[in-house]
Amino acid sequence: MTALLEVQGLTVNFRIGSAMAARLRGQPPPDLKAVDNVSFEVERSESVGIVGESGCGKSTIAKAIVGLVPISAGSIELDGIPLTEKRDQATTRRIQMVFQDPGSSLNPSLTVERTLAELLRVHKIVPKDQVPERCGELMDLVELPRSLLRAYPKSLSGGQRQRVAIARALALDPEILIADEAVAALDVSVQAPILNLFNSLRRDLGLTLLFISHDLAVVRHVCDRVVVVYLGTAMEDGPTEQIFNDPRHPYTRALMAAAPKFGVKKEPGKSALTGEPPSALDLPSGCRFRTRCPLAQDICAETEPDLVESETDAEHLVACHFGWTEAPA
Amino acid sequence: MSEHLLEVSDLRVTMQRRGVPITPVDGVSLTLDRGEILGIAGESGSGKTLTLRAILGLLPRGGVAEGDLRFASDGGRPAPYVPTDVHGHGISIVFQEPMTALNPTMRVGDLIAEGPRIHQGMNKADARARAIELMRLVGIPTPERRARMWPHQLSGGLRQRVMVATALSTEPKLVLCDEPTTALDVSVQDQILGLLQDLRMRFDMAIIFVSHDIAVLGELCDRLAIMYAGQIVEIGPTDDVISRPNHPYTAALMASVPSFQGTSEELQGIPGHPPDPAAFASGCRFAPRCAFAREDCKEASYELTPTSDDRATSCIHPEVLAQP
Amino acid sequence: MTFNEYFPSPSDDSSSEQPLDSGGTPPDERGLWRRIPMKAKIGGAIVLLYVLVALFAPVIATHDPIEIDPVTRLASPTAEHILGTDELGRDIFSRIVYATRVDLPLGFLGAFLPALLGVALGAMAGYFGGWVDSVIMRVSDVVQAFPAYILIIALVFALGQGASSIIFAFTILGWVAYARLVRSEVLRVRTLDYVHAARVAGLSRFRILRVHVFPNVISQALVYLPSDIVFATLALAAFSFLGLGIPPPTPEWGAMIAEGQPFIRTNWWFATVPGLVIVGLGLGMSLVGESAEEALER
Repeated sequence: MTALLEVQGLTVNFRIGSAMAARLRGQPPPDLKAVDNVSFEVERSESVGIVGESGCGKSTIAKAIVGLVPISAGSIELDGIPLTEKRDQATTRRIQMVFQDPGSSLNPSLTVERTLAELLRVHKIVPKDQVPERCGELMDLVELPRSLLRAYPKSLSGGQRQRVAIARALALDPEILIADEAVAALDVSVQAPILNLFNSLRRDLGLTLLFISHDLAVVRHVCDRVVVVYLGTAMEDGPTEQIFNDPRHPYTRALMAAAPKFGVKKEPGKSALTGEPPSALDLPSGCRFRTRCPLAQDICAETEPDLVESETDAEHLVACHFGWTEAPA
Repeated sequence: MSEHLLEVSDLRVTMQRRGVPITPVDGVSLTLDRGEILGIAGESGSGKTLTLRAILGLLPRGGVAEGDLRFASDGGRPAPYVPTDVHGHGISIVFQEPMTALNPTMRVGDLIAEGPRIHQGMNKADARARAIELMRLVGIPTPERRARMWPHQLSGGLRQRVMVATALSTEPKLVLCDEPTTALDVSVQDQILGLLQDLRMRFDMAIIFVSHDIAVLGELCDRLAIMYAGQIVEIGPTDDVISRPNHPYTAALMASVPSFQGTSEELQGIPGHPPDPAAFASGCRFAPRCAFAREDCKEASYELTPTSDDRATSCIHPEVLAQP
Repeated sequence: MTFNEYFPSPSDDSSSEQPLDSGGTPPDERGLWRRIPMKAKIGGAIVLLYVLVALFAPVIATHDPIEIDPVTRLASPTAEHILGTDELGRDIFSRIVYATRVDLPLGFLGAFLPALLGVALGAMAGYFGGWVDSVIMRVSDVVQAFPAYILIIALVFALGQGASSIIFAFTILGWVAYARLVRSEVLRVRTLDYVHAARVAGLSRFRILRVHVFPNVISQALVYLPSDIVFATLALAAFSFLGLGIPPPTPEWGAMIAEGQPFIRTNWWFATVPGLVIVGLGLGMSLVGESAEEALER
């Protein structure tokens, strides 16, 4: 079975600083590798989490998939068809996205109904006379009262706005829904039902979910599989239960140790992760995690490890020289 | 010795919003012992940050605090104080966003040295030496070099450490923390939490830590206060409050937090919205959203009633939570 | 352990039909009229008064504004001529009333046309970027580099005296401020998530600009319109005072001030009243503009 979405060696560079100044100095224009050779697959109806710290490139991966940023190298294929920044209406519909900030995710000058109806009309999702009814159905789907169709975003709460943003994404009947930190700005009592909503949308609509988050507990709640990203590249990729119960990459392990755990007593400050990630402009040689890694050896400075699957489990991949062996003491 | 370090009774903050008076903090009472870490949990608009700021007199324009504030500045009995007088004399504060809380036109070393120079009358050289010592204390590597840097040259984690060093520079007995780790990554957050706990141990410093993140509070705090609609609805030892809530709001809040090790059971959530300060319900303010609300809840007046030696709840029917 | 056991799930509870997260923030109980600040009401009333005077000038005026009466020259106020007459015996009150029909529309046009041009060019520069942006912004740099009044005077000399020349000169100069403002607003708005969402939804660039960007930047620009109307009216009066504006005998406030100036010692109202009329319009417009600005900040 081929994957619904296949990301192969995805690289996204951002031009920073002045290209002209660099050329005058006889150097190549300065590039920031926001995403560096990331590969993963998403099966139909699967829910995949992409986790990492701020600046690790997880949002850029999402933006590349929906065509908001150009791809510098690698490919993104949807059902075997390569996607680029330019795509036709039919392809556009298939992947939709929910953004982070409830404050700016909706156009303040449109009512909820006009926000939804615009997409239904432009994409001719339903005949014209059925547009209002479909708007109502979308509100039902995201568990909002239909009376809010006449409301402006200003009068909605953060949770309601994110629900409308989800309804807007669902208006186009997408196969893949990408949620980029979609609940990060919400209070827990509001966040919880929205996480449940994501789960029920998957169950009821067979939606494929790509869930981008810094919050491990949230990812654990929503995702079947997790890709851990550090400084623009994938460190570990595997089923959620395995990543959480038996993390193989030292970065994943340290991240798990650092996260405050609700319901588990632990002392803060005992994680192996010291310091902060190095700059993406000045990556260490070899493995990019080695400068903070408790296991780092000579080989780690020489060669960058590939994502390698476990001998016993083809689903679980780790980019560490010692991922599947015990590190030398 | 069981003298408190800080006593807050019946604290009320009133403000004007478009000409309409609102009371976002309405009758908060709490006590804090020396060397204790008290967490205040609450959702946006619960009044937790305003409570913290009222203790230091740092309310936004138009905000008026009433109530009885007592602080044991000299190690004796808590005595009434003027909030703005304790700046640099016993109480200091760490803000959420170090980028906006640190003056961008001052070098990091001078920022930290400012407190000792102004409040303790140190000369320039001594204050600078003290700043470098403090930077070392909060775990900033190569402090001599970094003291000469500007705030924007530091990473988020280092900036927050500078904030902590600035707060410590006046040797406070109490540090107020307003969501100091919310803007940070988990690995850096963990380091800052570890640092705060370490400093508490070493200097017998008390901390009030305000956050919306229950998991963080559960890790750091000795006692936990839960705020809803401008009032403390429950207070007690952290583990007890988290695992055996005595208020339906606390219970609902805890059931909303995605657990780290649990299975993917449905999260609870709380129906409706956190209330707006302009329209708090009469009686128990949580009653309109409470699954257990009864007729008499609508008339219940607010009172934090002790349920045991160290716990109290404002719920008039805490027994509903004990039912299977 | 889980904590759900302490809290019944909504599915157990048949009465909880209410969807999560329903309702909204409580609507402002006060009516729309009461929420408009007093400042805006006074300003609006003043502006409305001027508009009404302009509309009903023939009814309000007591005389023909250009009718010369050599017998009653420079008369003091009487029941017949409530503000007296000018050097040519024309009724000053009627001239001031009729001048509203000249100054008001020209002030509006002199502010509105530059705003229209500036908003359109600024929006294009901000949204399309690239060479479109470069060309528009470089042209605006050139315009800004000239001393404004000298350029207007030069243009009016070149194009000939008259209202259309002045409006044209205002437009050539005035669009720059609007273009820069709108451009920076567009640059801000186009990074907001709702614009990203519109792009992800495959909407055309023109549609995004029209529906999702433009309506959200335009109010920022329109806030400055009232103060620019004041500026345009004052500038028009100034040019007429200098003899570069509306040619006589058309009544115009600035020209009337100029005509009355020699008689300031004997007939002080001749120049003063048109001046006060200009001040009144400026005050009304400023109040409206200021309230609009404050409303936007909230």
